[in-house]
Amino acid sequence: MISVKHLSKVFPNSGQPLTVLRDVNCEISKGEVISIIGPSGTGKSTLLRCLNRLEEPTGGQIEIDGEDILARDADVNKLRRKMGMVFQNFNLFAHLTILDNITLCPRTLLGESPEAAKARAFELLQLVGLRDKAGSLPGELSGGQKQRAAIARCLAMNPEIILFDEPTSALDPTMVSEVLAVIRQLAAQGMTMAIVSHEMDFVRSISSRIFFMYDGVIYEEGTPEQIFEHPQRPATVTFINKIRTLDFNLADRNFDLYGMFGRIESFCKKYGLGDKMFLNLEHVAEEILMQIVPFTGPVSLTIDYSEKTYKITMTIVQATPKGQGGQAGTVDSILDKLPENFLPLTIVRGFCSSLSEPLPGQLRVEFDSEKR
Amino acid sequence: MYSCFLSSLKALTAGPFGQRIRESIVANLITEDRWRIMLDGLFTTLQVSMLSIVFASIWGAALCAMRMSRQRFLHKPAGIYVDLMRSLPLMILLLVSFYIIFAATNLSKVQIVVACFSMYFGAYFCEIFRTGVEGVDKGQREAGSALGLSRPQVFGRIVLPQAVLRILPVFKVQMTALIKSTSIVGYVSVIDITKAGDYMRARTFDAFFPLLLVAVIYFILTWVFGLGIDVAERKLTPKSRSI
Amino acid sequence: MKRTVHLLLLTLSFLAASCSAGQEPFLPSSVEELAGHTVAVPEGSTTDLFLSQYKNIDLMRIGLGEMAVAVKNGRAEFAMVQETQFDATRMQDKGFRKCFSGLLKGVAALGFRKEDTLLCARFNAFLQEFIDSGEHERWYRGWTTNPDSMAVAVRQNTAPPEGEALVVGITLAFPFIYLKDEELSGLEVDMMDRFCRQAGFKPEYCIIDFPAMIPALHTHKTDILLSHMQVTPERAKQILFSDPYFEGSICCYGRDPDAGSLSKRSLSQTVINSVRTNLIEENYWKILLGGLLVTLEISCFSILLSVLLGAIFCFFRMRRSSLVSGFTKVLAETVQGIPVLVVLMIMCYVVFARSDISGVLVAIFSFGLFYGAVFCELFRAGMLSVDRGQWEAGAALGLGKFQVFRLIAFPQALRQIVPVFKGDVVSLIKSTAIVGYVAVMDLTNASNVIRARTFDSFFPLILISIIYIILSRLIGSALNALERRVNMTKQQ
Repeated sequence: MISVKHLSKVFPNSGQPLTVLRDVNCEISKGEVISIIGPSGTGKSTLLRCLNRLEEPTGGQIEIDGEDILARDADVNKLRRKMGMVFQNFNLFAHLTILDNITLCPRTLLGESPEAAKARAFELLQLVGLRDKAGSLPGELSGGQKQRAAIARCLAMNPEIILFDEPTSALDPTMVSEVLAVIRQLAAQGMTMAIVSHEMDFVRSISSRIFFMYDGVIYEEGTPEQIFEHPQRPATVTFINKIRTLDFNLADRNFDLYGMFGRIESFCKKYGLGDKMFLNLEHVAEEILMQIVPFTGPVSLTIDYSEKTYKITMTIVQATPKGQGGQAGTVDSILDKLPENFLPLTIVRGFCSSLSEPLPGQLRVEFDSEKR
Repeated sequence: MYSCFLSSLKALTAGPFGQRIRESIVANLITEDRWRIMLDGLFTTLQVSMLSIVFASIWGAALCAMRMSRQRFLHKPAGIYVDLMRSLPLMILLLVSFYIIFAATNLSKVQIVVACFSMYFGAYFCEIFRTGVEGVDKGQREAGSALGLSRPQVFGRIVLPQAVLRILPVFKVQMTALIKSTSIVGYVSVIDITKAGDYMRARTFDAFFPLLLVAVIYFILTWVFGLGIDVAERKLTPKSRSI
Repeated sequence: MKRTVHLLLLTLSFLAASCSAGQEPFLPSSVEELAGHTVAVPEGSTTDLFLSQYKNIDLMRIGLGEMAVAVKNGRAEFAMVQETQFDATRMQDKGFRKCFSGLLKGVAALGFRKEDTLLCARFNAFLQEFIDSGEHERWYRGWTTNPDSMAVAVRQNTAPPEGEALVVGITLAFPFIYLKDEELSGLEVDMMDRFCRQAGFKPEYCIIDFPAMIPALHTHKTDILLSHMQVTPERAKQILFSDPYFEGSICCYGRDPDAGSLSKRSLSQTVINSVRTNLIEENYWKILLGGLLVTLEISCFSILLSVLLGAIFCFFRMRRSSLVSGFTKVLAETVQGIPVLVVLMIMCYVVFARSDISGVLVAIFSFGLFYGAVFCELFRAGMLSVDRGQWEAGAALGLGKFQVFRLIAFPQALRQIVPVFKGDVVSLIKSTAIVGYVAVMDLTNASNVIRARTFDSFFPLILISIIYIILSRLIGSALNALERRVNMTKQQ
């Protein structure tokens, strides 16, 4: 249905041109649900916005149903009626009621009669669960409700494909699920969709194919299993892993412990690791950093959570002391230096499933998550 | 009719203070039908104000369109014009209009005055309209475009309704400013309400009554127009309804 | 710079356009024939009253000084003035011709208060002597045939009179009273000076617009009215007239289409000529400079006063007591609901009518009051925009109310206030242009004076337009710098 060849987009950026899309090639067939993931700033949204020409590509070709949409005489408005877009910031028309938001374009552009448009609007509102909000103004709705209304507005135009530009990024975590539920429903009904999102679970469960974007191109594409289980190329691997990594770089003893706890708590919440795990991680981190690690130089702490094995690994690395040159192996073993039956060590062992020092100065703590 | 008015006036204003008021009213308004002059002046003020507001709005909208266009040859001159109007006193522009720009034409004094005010306030309205239109969230436009609305449709159905609502308070302020500034047209001997008051002052040598009357009339005028805009604002604000 | 060039080009094109105004050679021979035409008359004069009876004459009531300019520019087709005035005007510019004359024969006299019979008698005595000795004849002839050399001779040969102060109310009208080199000169000034020298007075000349003359006399703002006032029974009821010192009649004149059509001069010549006539001759540039200084003076002090008043009003407006707050609200709204010109006139003719106070001060008070009300609202909006939590946090830390205001609320309120304040200040400066209405010699009024003398509208107006533009831009930039400073302290 959609065919993209050698698409490029360069932003002028007041004198310093910024190349966001270098050479994008992809095909989207009818009925597919494509998710576009990747690190920030790699052009995911830009790619989406090029598809309905909200951004003008600087090079390449886009064909929709065989029509070259970048041609000079292409009827952009007609093209856009076939495609729907759901924005990160909802963009409901602030001066119209929800009902009017939905019926405006069917009446103006598709020539539907007011009654027909109204009836269809009610249907759609029922579908997204907002029937009783028809007469309300956008300002009176919560974020999740607004996004659902935006989706209904899109559907009223009977699009052939819907583009979702980070639909849940501006939402409170509590409202994310209601919007994702609606999108899931649409996918189940066979709607062709292209979604840019950071919700990895969702993306994994709903997509027929995933594009991983990196460095201005579609770096790797495949089915969800291929991308998430067996990422092939290095950047993909890093990305897939990294999103479940929490890094801390501590210069000296006077680091922000409470800040660290906060981030660990968010991390745990995000991946549903539970309060108990959070407390475990917290206690272990505190004991190790306060009592065990000598802080002869900068220390890094990394928490890795593997979705596959549900194992959590905390790695603490004591770097070489500052100003003593880059000689490897001059770090002494931490555990060896500790006295027998050192109390903090016992405490740590109580909270984790194993504690080891694979290399001098590198501590490795493993936890078992209860998540299944 | 006069006798009726006079007798009721007499009744209301018994006593020495009332006597003075009565004398004032008689001297200033009734003698020689001077109230007609005030009425004519009021009419002229209204005429000049209304026409100026209409033409200034039209001109301001045109200027705004020029200002917001991408063509340099359109938005540069418009920018210079707006800056010029904002740097010059209205009084000077009035004199320049009268003695230089429209000197050789056959336009009547009132027409020249209206043209002058439209030129001046058109620039201010241009800026107001521009802030209003630019103040509408960019996303609204994108959503409209994404749904397939053409650019004029997006402007007319999405941007304009929201912009109008946004600018109404500021517009009210400028409109009252316009009405009040019509008071200077007496300088080029157009008989507005202020000049009519002056005329009365010259005849009766009493400054208090005419000036007070003129002040009250302006106050009522600005108040009424302010109310009008408030009503318009209320009517245009979108309200949720139960369906 | 670019804008000035642009403006000059624009207006030069208008010069070209205004050059070629056609004129039909219509010559009325009586008042009735003026029907349907525009006739300029001095405001409030006997001519004004006389012609008002003729309903189908389009009367243009303007100041005496504006008459010739109006006719020259075509704004009025004809004008009716004293014959002496017309003769003097024609001496300056041959582009006029008399249509008919001999109307409304009348006499001019000085005006005194009814009770000043002694002063009046002294003047009458002087006048009698003046006439008897033949000086009156010499005086009249000298001034009507060659006012400029007369003025120079008078200036050189006589010293200014000294003695007890005597306030003389005047209106500018060439050749009776006009400004030469920033000083007053003319037929009537000469006469008054002679009287004062003899009687031991020091005259203080005070320009008052004509309708305000008689009230000014009554309220002791002036002691004598010297404005070529025609003696009429209605006026005689209100004031005491001296013996007449002048006899004349009214004539009607219009533009002469044959004489002096604008010769095709080169552009640079025209400009140089304009500069010469308007600025250098008669040292008119001094008048302009004086006007500029007055404008600056009024602007500066008005700004200061209005900020002060605005702060005070704002303080009262935000009191908890609804009486004080409500009263201030009503006051502010009232002052804002009427034009600043009307405020100025009320101040001038009602509030300060009886006092001796200079027009500049009245103007400062008026603008101070008006913009004080404006700033009251502005400051209030700024203060309200500061989040309530800021006050609470400050209080919780132990800061006193004024300290919270000074250190926390005010700097934040400034952010909201300064952008709008900028616009209002420029607005204030621009509105000082109206003070000419109450006869204050500011920049605009100065240009009117020059315009009336040289009959050239173009140059003086364009010149002061440029001055105003430069002034606005300068103040704008200064305030922008202030705004940046206000915001910069935030970032640090």
